[in-house]
Amino acid sequence: MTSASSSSARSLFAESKQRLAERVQVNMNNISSLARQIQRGSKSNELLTKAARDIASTENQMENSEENLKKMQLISVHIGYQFENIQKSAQLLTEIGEQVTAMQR
Amino acid sequence: MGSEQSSVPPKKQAQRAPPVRRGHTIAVSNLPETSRATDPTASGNNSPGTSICSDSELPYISYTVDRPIGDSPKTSAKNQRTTDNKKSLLQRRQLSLQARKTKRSRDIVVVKQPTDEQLDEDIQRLQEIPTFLPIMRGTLGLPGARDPEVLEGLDYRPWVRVTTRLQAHLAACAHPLAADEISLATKIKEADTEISRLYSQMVDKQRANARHAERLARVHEVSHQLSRCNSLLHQTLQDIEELNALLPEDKRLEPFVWNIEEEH
Repeated sequence: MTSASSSSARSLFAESKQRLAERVQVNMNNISSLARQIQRGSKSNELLTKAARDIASTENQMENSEENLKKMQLISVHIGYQFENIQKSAQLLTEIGEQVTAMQR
Repeated sequence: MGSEQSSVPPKKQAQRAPPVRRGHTIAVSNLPETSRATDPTASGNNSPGTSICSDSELPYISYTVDRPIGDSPKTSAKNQRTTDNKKSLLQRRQLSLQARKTKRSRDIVVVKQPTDEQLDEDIQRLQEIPTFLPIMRGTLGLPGARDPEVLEGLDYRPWVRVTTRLQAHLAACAHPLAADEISLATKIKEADTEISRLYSQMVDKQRANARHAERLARVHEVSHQLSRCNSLLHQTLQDIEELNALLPEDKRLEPFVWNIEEEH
């Protein structure tokens, strides 16, 4: 007989529980809409996404810059070598000038 | 679950008359129960009707079975099983009523007036509970009107102020941030263009450098050839002098002078 009384008693609070749940649901929906309004009202999301997208678009340029810089480093080394060559050649030039004057005597 | 929810030991309840009257939410003082039948086997319809008992969700429902006040469902079931099952419900009710009457005439129990006015401590505690209303007042009763709306209780103005301030705060934080990020992006672009320009300049300079270096490297060859030339010249001069010395006096040439027009 417990089953009979318990089944009748189980349906006792069902309606009030449902109503309570509805109230809670309404409150929750209100709070969430309030939060969404706060977020959308200040256009923080849009501003920040725009700025982030701008920076993301500069990624390609940053890669190019890095590549150029590396090449420039190599070129600087080459230029250093060439400068040494030129310096030695310049010294030779002076020696040659002296030799020529010696020969002319 | 039902047996754990009462602090009163079970044997007490069987000894005295049940102190709590079912069906009332607010405890009242104990009326003298003179003519109340305490015979547990007396049939009666005082099984808990609009009960507040339950099984799993609602507590105390097993009391209806294990510790009944009126008819135990088990014993009534047994009685029903023993009686003729073909009897109609009305006949059965009349029979039980007659049985109750006869039983009552035989067994009348008179209880004394309560001597001490002090109620049971459980009843005292129950009386001390303040009256409260359920969460949803709509369940109290139909004339209890709608649930009072939130608007009558809460003032909306502070909420509006708080939320607008929060919104403004978010906006105020976001604007400088976005401005900084955008300026960063533009500076990166500028840096990129600058770097590409410098790179092209460097490439040009390096090419010019290479050309100059290659040209000046020819100086090496020139110097080599010049030194060879020099040595050859010295050699020939010496040879000329020797040859001149070898020749007889009358055929000697002039001593060699480095002129533009050489004598042969």
